[in-house]
Amino acid sequence: MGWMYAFEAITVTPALRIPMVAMVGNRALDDPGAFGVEHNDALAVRDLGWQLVWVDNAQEALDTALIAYRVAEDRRVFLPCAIGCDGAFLTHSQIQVKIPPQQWVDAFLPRYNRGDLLLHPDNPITVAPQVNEDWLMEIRKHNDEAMKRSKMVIREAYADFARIFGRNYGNPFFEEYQTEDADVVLVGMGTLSMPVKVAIRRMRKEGKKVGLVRVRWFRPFADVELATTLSRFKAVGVIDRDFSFGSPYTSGVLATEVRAAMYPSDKRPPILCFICGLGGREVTVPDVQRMSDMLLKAAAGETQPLTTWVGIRE
Amino acid sequence: MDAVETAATQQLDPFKGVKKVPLEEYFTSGHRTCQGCESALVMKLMVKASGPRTIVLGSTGCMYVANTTYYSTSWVVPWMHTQLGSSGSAGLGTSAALKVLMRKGKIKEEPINVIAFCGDGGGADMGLSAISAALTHPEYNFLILLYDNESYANTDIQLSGLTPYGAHTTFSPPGKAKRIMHRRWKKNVAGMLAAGHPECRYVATVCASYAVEMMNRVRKALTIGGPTFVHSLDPCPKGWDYDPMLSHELGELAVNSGVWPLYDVEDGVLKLYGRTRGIAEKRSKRIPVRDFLIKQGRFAHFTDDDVDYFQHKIDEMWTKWLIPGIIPIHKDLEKDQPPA
Ligand SMILES: Cc1ncc(C[n+]2csc(CCOP(=O)(O)OP(=O)(O)O)c2C)c(N)n1
Ligand code: SF4
Ligand SMILES: [Mg+2]
Repeated sequence: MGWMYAFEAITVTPALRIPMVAMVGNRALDDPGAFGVEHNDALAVRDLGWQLVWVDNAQEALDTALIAYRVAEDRRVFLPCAIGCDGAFLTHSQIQVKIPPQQWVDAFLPRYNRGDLLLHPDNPITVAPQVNEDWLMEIRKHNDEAMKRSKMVIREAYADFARIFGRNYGNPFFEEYQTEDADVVLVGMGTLSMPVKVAIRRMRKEGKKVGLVRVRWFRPFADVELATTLSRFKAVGVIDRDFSFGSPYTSGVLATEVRAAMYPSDKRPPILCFICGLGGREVTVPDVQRMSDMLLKAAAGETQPLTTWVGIRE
Repeated sequence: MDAVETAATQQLDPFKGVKKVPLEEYFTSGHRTCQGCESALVMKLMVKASGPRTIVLGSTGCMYVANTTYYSTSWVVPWMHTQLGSSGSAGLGTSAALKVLMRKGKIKEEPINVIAFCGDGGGADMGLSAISAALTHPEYNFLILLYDNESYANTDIQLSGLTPYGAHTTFSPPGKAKRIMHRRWKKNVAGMLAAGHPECRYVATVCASYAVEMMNRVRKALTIGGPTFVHSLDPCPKGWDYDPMLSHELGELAVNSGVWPLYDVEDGVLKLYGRTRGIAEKRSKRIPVRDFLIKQGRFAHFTDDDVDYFQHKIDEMWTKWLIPGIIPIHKDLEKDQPPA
C-alpha cells in the first residue's frame, strides 16, 4: 500500500533517470484487506519505465538486488528497478542465505556515479523543466531506448555475476524446469514455482509431460526469447497472480503479455490463462494438476476456456 | 541522551539596509509569469538572500510551470521540480542526500543551502503532512518556503485551504442565488507549524513588499539550521483580480490592515516585526480591512455585511486570540456566524 501512496514520486523516477532499486513485497491492494501476495501492486508501474523482476526465493532476492543495482546504475540504462518478492511467503519467512564477501560485491558493483545529473551548486542544472509537446516525445523516446538497452546490460550482469559469485542463473530472463521433452508448459512468476515443480514431478510419474517456465524479468519483457521457447510446446498455460479486469479475454496481465509476445511467431500454441493464488491464497498441487489437465486437453485439440479462475468457491 | 548531530550551516548575516543587498541575481530572465507576479519576486529575493551555494526544489504550480520552460530556465542555481505535495520530502531528502555524499567523500564538505518551495495548494493542502513530517527532523538543514497566492493559480485559480473567506475563484463564483460560495476561513499555517513542531527552530511569515525584511528572514532560517519554515503572502494579479501595478501596495495593505501579521518564532520566542509590531504595540492603528478588499476584483461581490464580517474576524484575531494574530485558541468560544 505504501508503494501506491508513493505512486506520484514513483511515476517521475524513470523520466528523471533515477536508478533506484525497490524491493516490493507484493501484497493485495486494499480493499478488501489481505496481506498475502498479489502482483498488481508492482505491475501498476509496468508502463512507466520501471524495470521489473520477480524472484522465487530469498537467495535469489539478495542476488537479484545486487544485479538490479548493477543494471539500473549502468549509464546505458539509468532506469529504476523494482524487485517483486511475494508478500508473506518471501517477505515474512526466514531462511538462511549466503551473504557474499564485500570484495566480490565491490568487484561486481561499481560505485554509483550520477555524473552530469548531480544536483549540486557546482553543476547548476535545472531538472525536469516544462517541456510540453515541444520535447516530450523525444524525452519519452530516451526512456524507450534505455529500456531496450537494458536487455543487453542484464545479460552482461548475469554473466559477470556467475563469474564473480560462482552462482549461475543461466538464462537471466526466465528459468525453465523440465521443459526439454514437455508437451505443455505452465508459465508464472514468483513463489508459485514451488507447488508447480512439486506437481510436475508427480505428474511426470503419471506420464504427463508438463514443464514450467518461470519468468524473472517482466520489464524489459523477454518477448523474442519467450516466443522462441514457448512455440516449442503444444499448449501454454499462464498462471497469473494478478488480475486485469476487462482486459482481452478477461485474462491476467502476464497472459495478455505472453499472447502479445507470441503473436508474430509462426507457431502459436493455445495460450490459456489461469488466475489463481490471489491475496495469498495457496496454489495447491491439485490446482496445478487441474490446470495441467486442461492444458493437455488443449494440446490434444480440445477447446478450453481462455481464462479460468482456479481454486475459487463456486 | 546523545545530542542531535547537526551539520554546519552558512552564516548569512542580515542585510543591513537595501544598499547592502548584493547585486547578483540567481533567478533571472526567462520566466513567463504574469506581469506584477509577486511570487516571481519572492523567488528572486529568496535566492538573492541564500546566495550561490544553494539548491532549490520547487513544487508544481505557477513557480514551476511559468519559471522553467525547457531551454529558458530562469534559475542560476541548481533547481529541480518536485511533486505538488512533496516539498517536505524533497527538502528533507535532498539535505539527507548531501550529508551522505559528503560523508562518503563524493562531494566536498561544505554547507549547502537547501530550499524547497511550494504553493498554498501544494504546501498547505496536499503536502501539509510531508512538511509536518519534515519539520520533525532536526538533523537536516533545509528551508521550506510556502509562497501563498491564495489559490491553485496555475490551473486557473481554484480555491485552496488558504483562499480567504468569500473570494471569487473558479470554484467559488458568486451568483444571484448565492453570493458567498466560499465560507471557510483561511488556515493559519505558520502558527500551526510553529505550535506543533518543537524541533523546528524557526518559523516566519513574510511579505515581499518588505523585501529586506523578507530576505533577512530567509537568511535567518538558513543560518539557524535544522528544518525551518517561511510563509510568504503573495498578491497575484490574476487570481486576486487587480491592476498589476498594485502588487506591492496590496502586500502593504494586507499587513497594515492586520490581515497578514508579520512575525517570526525563533527557538520558541515569538517576535512581531515591521508594521505588525507597531500595530500590536498600539503605535499605529490597523487600517480598515475594506481598504484591502476593495482593490481586488475577487471581493467585488461583497456587500457591506460581508466586509463587516471579514473585519469582525480580523478584529477577533487581534483581540480574542490567545496570542493575537498567531495562536487562535479562544479562552471562551464565542458564537460568530457569517452573515446570511
Ligand atoms: C497531485 C496533483 N494534482 C493536481 C496537479 C495539477 N496542478 C498543477 S499545478 C496546480 C496548482 C497548484 O497550486 P499551488 O500549489 O497553490 O501553486 P500555484 O499554482 O498557485 O502557484 C495543480 C492543481 C498536480 N500537478 N499534482
Ligand atoms: S497566476 Fe498569479 S502566481 Fe501565477 S504567474 Fe500569474 S500572478 Fe504569478
Ligand atoms: Mg497557489
